[in-house]
Amino acid sequence: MRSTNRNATRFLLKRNLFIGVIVFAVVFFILPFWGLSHIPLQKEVYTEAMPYEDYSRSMTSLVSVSPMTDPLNLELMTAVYGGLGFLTAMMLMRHLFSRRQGLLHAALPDRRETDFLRRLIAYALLCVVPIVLNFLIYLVIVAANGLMGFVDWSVLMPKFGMLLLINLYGFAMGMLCSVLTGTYWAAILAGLVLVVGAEGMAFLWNNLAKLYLDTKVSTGFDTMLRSFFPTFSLYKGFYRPAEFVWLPGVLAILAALGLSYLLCRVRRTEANEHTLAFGWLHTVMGFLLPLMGGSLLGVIVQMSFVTEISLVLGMVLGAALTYWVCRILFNQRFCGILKQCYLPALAALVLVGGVYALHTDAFGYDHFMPERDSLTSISYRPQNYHNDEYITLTRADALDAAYEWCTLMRDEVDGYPNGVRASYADSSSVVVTYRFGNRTVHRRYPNAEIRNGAQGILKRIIESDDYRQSLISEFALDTDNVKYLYLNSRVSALRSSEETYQKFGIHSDYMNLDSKDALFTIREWLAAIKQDILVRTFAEKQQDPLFSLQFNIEDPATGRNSYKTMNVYPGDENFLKTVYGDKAKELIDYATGGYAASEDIAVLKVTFSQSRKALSLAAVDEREHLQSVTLASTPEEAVEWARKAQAISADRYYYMPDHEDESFSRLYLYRLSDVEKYHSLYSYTIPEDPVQFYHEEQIPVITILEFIGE
Amino acid sequence: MLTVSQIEKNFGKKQALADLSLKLEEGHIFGMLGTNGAGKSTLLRVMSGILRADQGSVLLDDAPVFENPDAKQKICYLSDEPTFLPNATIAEMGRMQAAYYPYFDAAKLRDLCLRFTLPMNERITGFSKGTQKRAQICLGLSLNPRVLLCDETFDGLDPVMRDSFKRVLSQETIDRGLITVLAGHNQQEMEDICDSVGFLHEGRLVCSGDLDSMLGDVHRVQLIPEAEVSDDTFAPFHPLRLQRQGRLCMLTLRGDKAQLEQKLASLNPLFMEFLPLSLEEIFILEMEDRGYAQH
Repeated sequence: MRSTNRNATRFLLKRNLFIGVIVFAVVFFILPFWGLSHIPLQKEVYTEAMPYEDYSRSMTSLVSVSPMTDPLNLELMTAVYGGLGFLTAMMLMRHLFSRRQGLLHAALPDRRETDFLRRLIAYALLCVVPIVLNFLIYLVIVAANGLMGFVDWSVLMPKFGMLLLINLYGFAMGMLCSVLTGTYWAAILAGLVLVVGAEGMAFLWNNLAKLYLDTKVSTGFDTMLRSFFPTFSLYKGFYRPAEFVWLPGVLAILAALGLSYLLCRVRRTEANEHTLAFGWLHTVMGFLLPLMGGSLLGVIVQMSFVTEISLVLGMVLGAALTYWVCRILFNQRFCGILKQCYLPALAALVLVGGVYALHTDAFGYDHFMPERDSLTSISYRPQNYHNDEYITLTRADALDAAYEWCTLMRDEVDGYPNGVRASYADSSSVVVTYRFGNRTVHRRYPNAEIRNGAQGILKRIIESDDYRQSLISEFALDTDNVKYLYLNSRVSALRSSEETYQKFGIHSDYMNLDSKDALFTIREWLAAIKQDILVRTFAEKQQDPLFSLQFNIEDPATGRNSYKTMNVYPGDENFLKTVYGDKAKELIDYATGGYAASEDIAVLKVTFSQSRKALSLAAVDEREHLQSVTLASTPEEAVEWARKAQAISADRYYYMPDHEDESFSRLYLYRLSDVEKYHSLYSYTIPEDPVQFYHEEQIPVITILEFIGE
Repeated sequence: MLTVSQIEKNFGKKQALADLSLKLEEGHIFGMLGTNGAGKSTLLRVMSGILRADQGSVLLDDAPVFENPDAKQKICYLSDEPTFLPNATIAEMGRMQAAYYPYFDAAKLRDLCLRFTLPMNERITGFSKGTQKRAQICLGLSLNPRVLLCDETFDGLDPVMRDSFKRVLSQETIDRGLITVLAGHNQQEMEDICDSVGFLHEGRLVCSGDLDSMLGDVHRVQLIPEAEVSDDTFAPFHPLRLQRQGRLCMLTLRGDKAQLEQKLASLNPLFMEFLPLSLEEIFILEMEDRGYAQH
């Protein structure tokens, strides 16, 4: 007797050889073709005339990182490799989608278990092998270009491993969807529901939670969903394999394959060409799909009408409509909605219950505060702040201060009216990340005022070594990973005035450094700002920044670039001296208020009888509370006022000092030559007394500053 | 021996087979007649291990058929709609069978194709319906099965081919002790080659037995009794049909012919004649008796 198993496997492979050819062709145009068309060209761009260190880095990135990130964007790459796996599974299980082919297949003398394992082997040989072959061809191309020495296996192989894992994930999902359904379109739809549906639900409920929870960043719900359907984490893992948590992905694959195997054994042959292959799936899907449809329509309606009742009505209607559509799809004919109508009713009830739980914060999400002893670090990122500070504090002193600050913010959030996110003028949002000894992570996003007690705590944080080191590390100041560095001015007087150029001989709109030709300068600037950071005080950080430094930092592991911005303060003398040399002192003097001494500038101090916060909350015309308007009588007085005031821009509220409690003043600066120049254009008359400028709203103001703490 | 014991099969709420039992011996051809939707195809699919029975068992030599490759290697099911791999040729189908069936005989397939004028290397989808049926039968016979389950297999064949295949089938049954089941509506065909037949109705085997005994068990009699007789007179013979035209009675009765003759003779008939009955007529009468399509 012949070995039927081996022969059957061989026959299956022959019959499905076209799958292998298609996979090979698709991957060939992604990987080896890219290598053939790009590597020789890039070799010419990165000439060996470059410093060897740079040349080596560029070449390593070219042959180890780019092939996995450049041929297609990351999302498309994930979709293509996952999709190839999914379609391979569907093709290998296509006998399940035809009644007649199903009969032919079921008549064969074969155990379902054996047949299932045979199809796993077919996947390995028809999908994995072509991908691996293409990878080997790519390596041959690299070797042919003499770049084998630059291949960083520790970067290339994890990415390739992730790529195969994504492909396997797609295959596992494809197998599960094929077994659960009985038609091609139903299998594809099931795939979308499994992969996109879970992500979509996470996204929708994440947004819904943000409506109701003041400190919402992410809920356990979406994290849990993503653990079971780890498409998103796989996609992110492809981007950063080193940070990828393998277990959920591998577990999901094993679960999908295991479930497919078990269901395959009990699947009825007569289920072919039915939308759903199992009777119980009608109940499960009749509940789950209305849950998804209800969530989607609820959010859409809520976005249009912005009321809670519209959200609830949208959910109920969405659940009912989805159920009806499902019934028609499941039965493959037009039919009514009434049968098993308790399913959409239950789904709607769950949705409304979910909204109620969010509305009342039933799980105490906003009130959460971990035990201090259980924390290993607290990270925070100010959200309204015009830079990318992402600080991680781990040492006891800084961690204590951060914990106190978080408690303060939590107490403030507790005081908010239920369901209303605070939006006071002097408040600031900050994302806080708590990390625990057991490696779990919780995030909160409180919107809190930075005043009173918070000021003292922030001083402790900002002047701690932990903070300084975290900032240095965040901006890669100790490395050569900064590819580009841009210097932008932040003070409007500097930005708009030609005087600056004349005075300091530097056009301050931006200065642009490229590491290819200015690596030394970049190193010099970074060393200088690092020195400033090491001695920077909280008081210095509370001042208006003069410049912002934009960083383009390359991640050596992934080759991906990120953009970050750091403020340069008047107190950062090392850096300013490095850039402006002897003129730095003069520049600081000019930019922090000296410019107000110009004869061309009129400076008005406008004082209101209410506090800043009261005015912003009252939402009334502030002119009704006008107390006085005073013109600076001398250039010295104008400069003194300018130095005591800060820019009005909201992006710096984060470290802004307290405002005075009872009243506050603003500084209005007018350029007289501009007032003269634009009066015909904007149709205003120029009052003889500059004090009246404030009352003539059409007159252009060059800048408005606010007095702090007086 | 193929033993079907108390099989039940449901499709959703619809009961396709109910408490159905059957025993089939080697070297016999069993004909299965049934109304539309009676469950003939379902029964064959359960017997071939394609469908799982909800209740009961199908055993080939005491081994279950479902999910048992050893048993299924010996069973060939020829479906009412010939089905092949997409775009396959007979040669390719043969290769598939060779991969799965250890008793497959490639030489036999070639011989059968030659005998029934089938091209081995042309796509089967391009064949006419009748030619596809021929291809299906040749492929089935080349498996050298011990059990051959034919679902309306001869429908669509021209009379010459039908006759040829019947002869091949009879020969195989005798030579190799094949267990053959023929399901269909053509009673004449059944009468020609079957050793035994069964009537299937609403998922149940309403009667079955040797063809000869079945034909000998139902009798049609023309009778003119001397005196008027009531219908109750014929009750012991399970009358399938009673028709009267004046004193002329046309009776279709079931039972032993000698006993029936004795009973009818006791009525001192003026005229009595036993008329021959075909299988088709018996089938129609049985079905009418069970309330199927009565007018």
